Amino acid sequence: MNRRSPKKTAVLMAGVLLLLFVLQFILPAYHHSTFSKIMVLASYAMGFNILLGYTGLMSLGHAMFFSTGMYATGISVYHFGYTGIPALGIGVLCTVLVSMLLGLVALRTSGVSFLIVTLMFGQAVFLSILYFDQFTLGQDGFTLTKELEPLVLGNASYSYTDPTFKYNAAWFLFALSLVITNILIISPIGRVLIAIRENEERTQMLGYNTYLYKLFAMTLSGALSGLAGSVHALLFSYVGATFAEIHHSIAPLLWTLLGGVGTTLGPLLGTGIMHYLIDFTSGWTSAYLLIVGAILVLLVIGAPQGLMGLVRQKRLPWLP
Amino acid sequence: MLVWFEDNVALLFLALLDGTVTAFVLALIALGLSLVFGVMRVVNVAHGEFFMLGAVLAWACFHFTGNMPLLGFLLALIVAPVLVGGLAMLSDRFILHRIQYNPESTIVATIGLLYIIQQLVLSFFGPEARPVEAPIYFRVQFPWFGYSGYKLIVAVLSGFLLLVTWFLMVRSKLGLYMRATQQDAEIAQTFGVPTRSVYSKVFAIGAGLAALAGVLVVPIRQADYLMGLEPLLLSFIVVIIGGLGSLRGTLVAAFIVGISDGFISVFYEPTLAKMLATVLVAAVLIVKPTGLFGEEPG
Amino acid sequence: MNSLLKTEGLSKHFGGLQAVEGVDLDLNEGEIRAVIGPNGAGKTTLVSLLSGRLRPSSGRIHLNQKDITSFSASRKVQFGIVYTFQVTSLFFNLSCYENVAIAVQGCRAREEGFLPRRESDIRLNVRKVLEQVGIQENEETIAGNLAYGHQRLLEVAMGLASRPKLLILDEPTQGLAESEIKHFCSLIRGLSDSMTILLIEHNMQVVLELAEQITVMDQGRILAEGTPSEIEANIAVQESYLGG
Repeated sequence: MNRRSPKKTAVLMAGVLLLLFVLQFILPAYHHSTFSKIMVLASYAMGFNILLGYTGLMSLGHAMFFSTGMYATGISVYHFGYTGIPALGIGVLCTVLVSMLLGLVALRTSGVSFLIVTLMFGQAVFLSILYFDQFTLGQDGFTLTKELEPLVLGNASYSYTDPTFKYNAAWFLFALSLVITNILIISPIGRVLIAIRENEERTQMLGYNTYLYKLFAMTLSGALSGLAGSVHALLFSYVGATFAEIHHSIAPLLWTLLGGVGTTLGPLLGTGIMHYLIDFTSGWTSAYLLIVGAILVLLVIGAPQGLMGLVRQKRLPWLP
Repeated sequence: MLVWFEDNVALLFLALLDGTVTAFVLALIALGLSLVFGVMRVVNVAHGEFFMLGAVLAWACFHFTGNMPLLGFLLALIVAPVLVGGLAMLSDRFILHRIQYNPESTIVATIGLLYIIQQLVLSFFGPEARPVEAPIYFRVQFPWFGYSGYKLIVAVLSGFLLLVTWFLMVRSKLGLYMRATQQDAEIAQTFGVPTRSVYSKVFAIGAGLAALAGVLVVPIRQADYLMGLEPLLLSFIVVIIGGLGSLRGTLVAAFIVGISDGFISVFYEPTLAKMLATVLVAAVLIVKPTGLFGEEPG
Repeated sequence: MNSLLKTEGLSKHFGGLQAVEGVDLDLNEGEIRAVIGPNGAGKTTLVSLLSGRLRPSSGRIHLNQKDITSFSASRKVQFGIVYTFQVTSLFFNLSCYENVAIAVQGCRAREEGFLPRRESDIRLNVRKVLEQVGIQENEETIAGNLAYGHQRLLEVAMGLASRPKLLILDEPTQGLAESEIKHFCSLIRGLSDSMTILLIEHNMQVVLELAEQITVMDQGRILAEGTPSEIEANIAVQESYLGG
């Protein structure tokens, strides 16, 4: 934050994206599909990070944005026969609406109250999904395998569940989120958001209407999370209520904290590590909640800045 | 209206009874949460797990005593709050104290604690719900239906425990310390209040109250490792409506929420009831961030 | 002289406590006004009302004849009333450059109607302001690592970067060394051509050196008002403040 270096940042980001793109030709099938998943979920965490890492607002209800995107897209396909792209548009539109409305009300509170309000609304969305089961099919949800028509681009047609398409679509989503986050934080708006994170009262006393800036951050954060939810629905052909549960709101918090709050690459790192950690340990224990819990506790005690935060602190002060 | 009332008088009475029992238990759980928030400014997300541990320990006591319900129950009334309180004290010392009670870090840490406790119970106790026999069985006959006597005993015991806590708050030295710390921790410290041990004790008492509620409730609703979430959310609702940190508000709100919960679940669908309650609470927080009974900050 | 800011019967009470009562203040454009008085006289409350951090219980505030009583703090900044904190309030984890840049950017946005796009414009202004207060060599230093005196100057720099019509300084020299106070006084004197300054100050030397007009407050009310020499001569003041 202190010594910005746009050139180094651009090179690093391009390098990471290139690496992820090339990996698809190298990775064995299993990891190929895991990476697709990680990139989609990392985009979700990046949306979350805009709010927590760059605005200083901790939400415990982000699953409501993810699941709004997921369900809006899924229902458009399943019940109304839309194809993928319009359904994606509907998903994003709905999340923008939901996150803006939530922001309008929830941002009147701050600190602990904000946390609880987002938690409550997240729970309300989860319960609504259970309640309106004629559309959502309740707890179990539904698959899109039969209903979703392939994407037609020019003469070519791609199935959403084709591994190559899945990987590249996930990569594209991740690249989009990364570019948006990086542009945001070097923009004047990003500077104000960081100022709010550091000292909101002072920011107000410099003449900024901080409420509007926070509303913007909330809407953008919700929209990115919702987009990730929409893409998740299309690529993995499944829409279900587990994605609206509290645990799914805590997940991006964990990923972001582990990878590094307020770093652009932290969410990817955190999501990847957690995924492989649980995968790796599942061989000898099913007690993955214990791992999640222990990591959360150890992080807040030992390394609240997360992995990328540590790198920034020790080695690369310019790291965005 | 009057006809409807006459037709449904039995249901209304049932709703009132159930609601009152819920209200007493809820007040006990929420009081713990409220104490911890008021004195330590800590939102304890693991509070529901302390409740769950109480229920699980009650089940363990019930089995340990060779399925003698009354003995197991009495044993659990001592064992559960002591063990759970001890666990809370340890978490305070080794986790919360180390992160200096920073509000957001404590939330993350207590989420971690929630997962750890859940997993341990899942691993050692199993995923299934296990019933515990009520220590006393009798029915109270009302004109329209018979009602479980144990449920009424739960209400009475909860009320008694609330009174004990209240007495502790206003009469004991610890209570005085707690109130002083709640007003202003720094000033309290300069006047010789050992805030560090007060924090540990408050966290233990809060957890102990939740555990006791778990012991009381388990003969009514069985013990399972996921049972902590719902009382946690309900206690949040109560604490918010009552005003964060206001004990009197917490009690009033527990009755509002408990009794309306009784009515809504008797007459409507529980999912819808919970949905409405959640949104309503969020609305309260937004319109009046200090809660309906909270004091305006100076 | 044109009047810049005028209050009528401005009052604020907290519960039963009357912190500010019936204050009529009239500030002219370009003057340096000091507000003095014992602790608890209501000085900080008064400027908090002016800057919008607190809402008055009654009374009105006019800026250039416009009623701004009910404006929020951020809107008051937009109208040119800028407050620098008594307890230093900076973005402690950010560099001095960023601290001032946030202020510059806000000011540009007000004047031009949108956030500036080019960093080079901002940089120019940031450097100018940092130079003005004399901490240009600390541009890259994290604000939290600055010496206390420099933090106070950074606070003033952020105020200046907002290009105020009225700059409110709340005990700016508190905790500064003798040499720093001197530097500070000459800085403030240099500013008075381009803005009005309202100064809350305990150090009588600073007050007598800088102020053109002095307002004396006690128990929430204005006790006396006049030039430094008039005030010095005023016995009532001596009893309540200088002597007490």
